[in-house]
Amino acid sequence: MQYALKVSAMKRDLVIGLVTIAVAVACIIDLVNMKQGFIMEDQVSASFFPYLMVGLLGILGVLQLINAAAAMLKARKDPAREPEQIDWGKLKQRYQVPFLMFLFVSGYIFLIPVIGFYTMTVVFFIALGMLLGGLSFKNFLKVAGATAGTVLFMYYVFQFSLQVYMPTGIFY
Amino acid sequence: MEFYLQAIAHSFQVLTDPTVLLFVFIGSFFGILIGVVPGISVHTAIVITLPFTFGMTPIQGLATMCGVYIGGMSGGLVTSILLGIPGEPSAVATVWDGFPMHRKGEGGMALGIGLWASFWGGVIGCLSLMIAAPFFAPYVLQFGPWEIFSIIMFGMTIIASLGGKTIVKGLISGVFGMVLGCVGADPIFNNPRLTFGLGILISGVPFVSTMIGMYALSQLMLDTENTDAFKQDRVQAVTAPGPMPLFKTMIITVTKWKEILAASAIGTFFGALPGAGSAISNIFAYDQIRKFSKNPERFGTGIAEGIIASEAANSSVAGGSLIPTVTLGIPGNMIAAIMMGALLMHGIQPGPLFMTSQQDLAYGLFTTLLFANLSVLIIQIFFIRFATKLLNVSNAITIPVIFVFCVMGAYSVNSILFEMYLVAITGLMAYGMVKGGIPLAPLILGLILAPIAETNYRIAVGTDSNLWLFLTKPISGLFLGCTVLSIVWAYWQAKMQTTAGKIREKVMI
Repeated sequence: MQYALKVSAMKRDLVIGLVTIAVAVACIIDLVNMKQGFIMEDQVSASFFPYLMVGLLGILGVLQLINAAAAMLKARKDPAREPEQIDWGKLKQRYQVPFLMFLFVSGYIFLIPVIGFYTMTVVFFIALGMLLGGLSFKNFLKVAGATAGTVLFMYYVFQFSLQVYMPTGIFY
Repeated sequence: MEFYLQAIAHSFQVLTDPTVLLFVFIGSFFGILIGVVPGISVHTAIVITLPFTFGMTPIQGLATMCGVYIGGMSGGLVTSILLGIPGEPSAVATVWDGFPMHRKGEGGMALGIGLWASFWGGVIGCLSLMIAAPFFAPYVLQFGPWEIFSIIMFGMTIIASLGGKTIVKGLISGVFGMVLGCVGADPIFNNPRLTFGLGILISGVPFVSTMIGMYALSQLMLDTENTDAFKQDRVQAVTAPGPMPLFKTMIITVTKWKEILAASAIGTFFGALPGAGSAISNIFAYDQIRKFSKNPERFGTGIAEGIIASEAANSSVAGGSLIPTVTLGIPGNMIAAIMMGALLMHGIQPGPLFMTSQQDLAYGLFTTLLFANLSVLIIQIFFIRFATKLLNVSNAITIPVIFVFCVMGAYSVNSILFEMYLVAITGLMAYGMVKGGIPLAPLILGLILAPIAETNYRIAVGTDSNLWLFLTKPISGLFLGCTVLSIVWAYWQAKMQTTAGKIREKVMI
């Protein structure tokens, strides 16, 4: 089990290295296509510092990749090596709520301009409250009360007092 | 002496503005409220406050943030003592004596001692800031672009090397932050870079939405990973704290003045070191006070000295962390970095010129921080009974409330929908980073410091193209040397830890 945990951490480190290199490459492509303005001979161009940082990021990505790959190879040679097993049930139990929460949050944010801020806030608040607190009627009452209080408070503070108008869609 | 008296007199001018006092008070109350809820950090509290401060004057904004900062730190004390869960990493050592004291039926006493120790520590940290910042300011004024660039590099590497599980991950985070800081128009020619064709990014990566996504959304997602266990712990553990004798606890802390002074000195010192901060200071102070105590064996059984050591140390960090922020423009910790970001958004640049060009604001900041300590003490005295009830509020209510305010806050800064989308994008990214063992603090610091580092680098090279000047100028060379040393030190430490781990494994086999 300990071995499987170590290997999964190493795989994660490998992915971090790859993602870092990919980000650095994407940034370099953008910098190569950047339009340079006129500069005097002794001046530093606008792309110099970003190049420096992106180059450094790429080097760090390669370092991370090498470290992770070396650690994985070393672990594979370990005589105490056990077959790699992933406990899907445990993973599901751990990441289900954060995953659903992120889906709710993304849905909320991206639907605000379509449906309207206040309507979406009510829907989102109740949906997330039920996800986190359970589907009981008692929880629904608590969440509904908190929703009403929050939305009224926000309307009063932002729209009424601070004159910040939130996006409206089909509804309000 | 006369200079300091003038500085102190200048500092207190800000207290004549009642709105500033009101904002400190509101900020303190909100900070305590958030600090009490387990799992929600003071970073989240300060990030939620950030959008509201843009409609205020800089001093009002800083006053609110100071209140939230001190209040949030103080709120962590309640969970540490009553639940045995440190609300903040800065309150880890408070649990060691606070929780056993509560289990002995002296929870109220522990809370009182913690409150007073926190107050004294905060005041000492503030006074240190008031003395140190004007003292260093004239020296720092002589720094040129070479020195400032080198100091920023040093600050970046020290934070990157302290934060992550490995130094490479810390550096990846810091350099990625610097890359994000380069996005948008360059600071000298206004030439857009790294925008990937998105016009909205020409003015740079929006700071508030990025902060909200990274510190609020990712934190809330982490909190919900094990909701059931989290709820159960809370319900089982909260019991009434018992009476809190205010005068008696004050006398106890005053008689332990040596411990208060020592812990506060440690806290201020760690606060002033970029990257060290309150998470280390409270444990270090606890350990030192225990070592020098006549009865070290009693530590951990529920004694006043343990709570005093931890609370005085973590509260004095606030003052200490602002010393490098106002003098050098390098934040001592994450909260100082967010406060610095808020100042930058108001067009004010903390750093060598801050103490002279923005005297009112600089001295106002010191005083509001001092007043925030007093305001938190007053609120906590009356609020602490109610605060214990807040521990039972369900996640099903707190998490949606906080998130809705975050989204609204992100939108309200510029009324741009993209800023809301960015909350989701950066939140997911930060969650992935945390799961991958990559620290967030270096990224935020890089994002804030990149434009300053770039401007100074380009001014330095534009003035004299000889790059050796970065090494041959004494102060610049010293800091670049320290930069290399901090990386080597972190690498050596990691190596030692791995070796120690292997030895331990062999011994256990």
